[in-house]
Amino acid sequence: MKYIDHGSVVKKMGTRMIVNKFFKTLFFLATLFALLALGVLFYRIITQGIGYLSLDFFTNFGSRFPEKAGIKGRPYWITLDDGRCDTCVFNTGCWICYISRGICEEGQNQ
Amino acid sequence: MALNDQSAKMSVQDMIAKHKGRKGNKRFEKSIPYILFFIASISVLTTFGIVFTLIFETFEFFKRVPFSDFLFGTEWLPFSNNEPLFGILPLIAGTLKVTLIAVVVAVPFGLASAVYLSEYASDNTRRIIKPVLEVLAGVPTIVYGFFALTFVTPFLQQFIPELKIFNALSPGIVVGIMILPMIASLSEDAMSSVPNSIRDGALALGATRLEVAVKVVLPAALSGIMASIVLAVSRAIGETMIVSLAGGSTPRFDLDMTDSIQTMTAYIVQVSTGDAGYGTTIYYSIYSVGFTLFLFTLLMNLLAHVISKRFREEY
Repeated sequence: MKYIDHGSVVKKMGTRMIVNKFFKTLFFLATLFALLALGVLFYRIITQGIGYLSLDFFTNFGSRFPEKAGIKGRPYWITLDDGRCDTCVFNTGCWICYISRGICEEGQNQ
Repeated sequence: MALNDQSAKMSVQDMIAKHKGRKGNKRFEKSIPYILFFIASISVLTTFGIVFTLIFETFEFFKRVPFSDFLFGTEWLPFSNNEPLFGILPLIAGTLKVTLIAVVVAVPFGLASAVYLSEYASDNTRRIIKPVLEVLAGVPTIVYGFFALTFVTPFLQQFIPELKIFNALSPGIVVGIMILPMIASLSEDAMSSVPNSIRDGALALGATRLEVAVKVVLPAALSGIMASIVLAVSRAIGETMIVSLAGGSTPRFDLDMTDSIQTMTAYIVQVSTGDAGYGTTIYYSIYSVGFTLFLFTLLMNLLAHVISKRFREEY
């Protein structure tokens, strides 16, 4: 039977701790990379988009002339489409859950 | 008030007995499961409808184009006036290039984030970072597409001057960023579900946190981690907007990452928004490409299912 050599464990402890710290930093930096990507994306959207936000942009309808283009009408369609889609998906999903549960319970009872 | 008191005194059994005799109620009760079954079958029928449409239209395509030309052809030139060519390999190559780059970006970073959040981060840090990371998954893909085209490509061109404005590298990296939170979040969930008693046992034996993560937690959560990777890959394969905007529309059967490509989804977008007339070979070609794409994603989902079943460990 092989016993743990206390001396060699203590000797390797320093290296193991350093490796652990190194990887902890590496994993943290990997997490930061994702956050950095998000930060850069939002920074770009905000700095490039904020100058074009005006009252006209919200009150004009879509147009092929950039100076006259706006998003009035779009939110209505997005809301309407999403609303219809959500209602349909939510109802169907609920009923599927309900029936699946019923079938499962029936199966368990049998 | 008196009526309320009276009804409050009625037991549930009394109420059931009182309403039991009503014929209308009984009929309604009996019809409810049928109504619910009809509603539930809508989504199943929709799925069948989509698959059957794909299959029938794909058959129509193969009446016009030989199956071997489609499967082994290395040139995809559907708009050619002389002799249109429908070899799917360039589109598959474009899709695989983007997917490969996305996997190279997303898997190491996603897994590293998952290990950090699950094993090293404090509860407070996890509570802040995880939802912020998940915001990345909620960004519309059209925004990612413009981000790839207007920021990532010019940024990469500083280091790789031969990189074309439409290329495989930039959309690949951005698709990787898009699927990163999926891998990080799902893997973190899988790792967090490993019981603390196993972790504590390893720590008590003198293992460092890294050793616990790599030798104990990762193998224990392997099924969830693999499933998250496979699901993320299938999302990368099916990604449309980023590759349509930043990848270009030149189907090529090579390994060059710096030049314009076309993926299967980008081709479908190109034809769907163009002037392909109904009943033409180009029109049917989008179904054959769609069917190939469907097979890819189906295969990935089956793989995820098999992996999660094969490596599942229950505690």
